Amino acid sequence: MVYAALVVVSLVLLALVVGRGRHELWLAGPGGGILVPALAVEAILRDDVQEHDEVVRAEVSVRVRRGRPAATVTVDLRPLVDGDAVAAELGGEVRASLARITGVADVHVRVRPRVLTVKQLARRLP
Amino acid sequence: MSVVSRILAVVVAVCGMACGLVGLVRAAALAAGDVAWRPPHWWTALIDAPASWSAAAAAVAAAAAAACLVMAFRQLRGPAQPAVVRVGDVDVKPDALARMVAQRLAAEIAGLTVARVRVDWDGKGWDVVAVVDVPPLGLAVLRDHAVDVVMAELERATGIGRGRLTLDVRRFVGGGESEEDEPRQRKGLGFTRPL
Repeated sequence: MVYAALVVVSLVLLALVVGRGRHELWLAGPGGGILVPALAVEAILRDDVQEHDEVVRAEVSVRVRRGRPAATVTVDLRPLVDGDAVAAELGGEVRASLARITGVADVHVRVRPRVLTVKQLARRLP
Repeated sequence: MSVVSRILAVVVAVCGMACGLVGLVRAAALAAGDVAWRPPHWWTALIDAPASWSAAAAAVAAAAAAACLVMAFRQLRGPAQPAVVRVGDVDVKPDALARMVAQRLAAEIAGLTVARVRVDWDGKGWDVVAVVDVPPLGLAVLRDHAVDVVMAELERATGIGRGRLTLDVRRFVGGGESEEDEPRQRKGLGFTRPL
């Protein structure tokens, strides 16, 4: 019982320490920095991406790598669309949104498109 | 949370988890029966050692536990802020500076709401942490503007305008949409559209 409690407490401590760092973005600058909730930025970008007609589902992950905001967008697209073309279009939109939000022009965006088959799309119907 | 505190917490958590898992496995093995799992040599040596050694080891363990507890409480409460700090030849009240900084930030930066501000003197410059709500627009520009505003205010108040500002965004407020943005219509999944 004591050992189980020790494991649980350690796991909670680890989650608190690691979890908090994971969900914040640190935008450093001369004389200070700004700590931003990553989930809020991801939600804005995800809403933007999901407004695209060909997007069925989208996930966005935002990090700061070497002081540069970087977003990874994973999208499920409708069947038969040109995945690369839509990815390029979405990449431009997300890049513009991320730059507008962060105020940093030099942002990195990677889009991972997955074109669904008709059968896969049918499974996502409500 | 500082980097040292974070590393210390991870080390303590990993050690705690390792000890707990080992204990669980040992208890399970012993419960299964037919297993002779003696405690390690160092533990037996410690138990069998003269009372003074055992007491010293217990004291060290208790001190480590107490230190962990104190650090945990400090982490939760934050370091205590002195009522007055000595800056050069002048006594300064950090709370009063924090109120001034909060008012100036709210007045100078449109859309920014200040939840709380903490001002510390680290011996060389000011260390300011402001918890704020901001619109999701131009955060780096807002940060630079805020640094200028805060340091100017501190210089005006104390004659020293150097230091570091951390803006801790609690949440986004407003849409942060620029005027030229067109109103958008939610498309939903649009499964009725021909594929």
